[in-house]
Amino acid sequence: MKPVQPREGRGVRILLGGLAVLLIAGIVHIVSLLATPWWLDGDAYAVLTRFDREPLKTVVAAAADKTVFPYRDPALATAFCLYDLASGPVRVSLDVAAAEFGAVSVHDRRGQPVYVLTNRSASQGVVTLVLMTGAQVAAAEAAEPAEGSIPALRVALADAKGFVAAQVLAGFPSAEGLAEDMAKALACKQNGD
Amino acid sequence: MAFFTRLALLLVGVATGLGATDMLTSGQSLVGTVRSGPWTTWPGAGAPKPDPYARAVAARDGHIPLATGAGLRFLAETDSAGDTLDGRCDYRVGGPTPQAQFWTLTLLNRRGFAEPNALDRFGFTSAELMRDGEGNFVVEIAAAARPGNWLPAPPQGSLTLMLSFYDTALARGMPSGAGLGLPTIQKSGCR
Repeated sequence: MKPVQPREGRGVRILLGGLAVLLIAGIVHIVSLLATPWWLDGDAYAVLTRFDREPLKTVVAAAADKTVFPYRDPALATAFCLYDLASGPVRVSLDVAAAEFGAVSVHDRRGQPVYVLTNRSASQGVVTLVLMTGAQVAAAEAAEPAEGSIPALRVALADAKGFVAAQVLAGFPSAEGLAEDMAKALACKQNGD
Repeated sequence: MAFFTRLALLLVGVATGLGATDMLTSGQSLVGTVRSGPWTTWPGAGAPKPDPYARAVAARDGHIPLATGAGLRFLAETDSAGDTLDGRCDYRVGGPTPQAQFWTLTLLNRRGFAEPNALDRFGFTSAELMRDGEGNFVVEIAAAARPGNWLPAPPQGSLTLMLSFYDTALARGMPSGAGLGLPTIQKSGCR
């Protein structure tokens, strides 16, 4: 009987030790996972600001350099602009009348897409949306007349900062120049509404 | 003694936790995936509220997720038999494809970048592919020139194939990867 007791005790201690390791590992994993986007600045927004910090300027250099963003489709001509809603709403427009496929996507400060419109939603060949904070949407709604011209599509954003990506597909290599010109024509302007 | 044991347990726990984070967020996240043959996609990655793994992966490698409403992207790092895609081997990608207005097939290295080649060709779009009478296609991936739809591959190194669907209904109903009818990737020989 005597030697059994300590062996059982050791078994319990090993089990408890293992559980403690798992618990610590789980907590460290969750905390480090949630913290990763905040302590690393390798996200797309941070990369774009290395090319140009000026908001609303159309940036094509980051797209032209094939070594900047991984997992890019070379058939998509791309242009970007940074936005900062602190100085007012931003009107974004892209002429996709001649595009087989075109999309304007709005990304948050971490590079995640929060809204997208494709050429299917174009009005007279142009995709237009107005980026606003929740407060700016409320102010615009209070100010507008009950009946009047239809306002552009308003997108309420949680983050004041982020970027817009315009992507235009070139179905054939010969169409790449045209697709690039279309993407480059991305217009981001202050106080659209 | 008890102090050192506890310290050791703490260190092992911290290392395991950090190691798990590193493993699950480097390269492509293993969490939230839908698999179909050799192809893997992350339907949540392009959504406004992605899972924390997709968010951490994007923060590490800087890729721009394709918004769910614009399209859907699949990656393959192995052929249909499960062998790692390697520049020293030739591959045939072919078959029918699911419904999408446009799709593209792109050849990348394992870090997600296109390797330079003399033709400046890194992929095919659905519009430019040559097909047989039944609408099926074959893309030949090889370092040496091939007739037909030839995609030049680097002579060595691990490869990644990216299949992008634009303006597709696929993203809206993805309960499982089965039955998506994605192209197969067959090894046709190695050097």
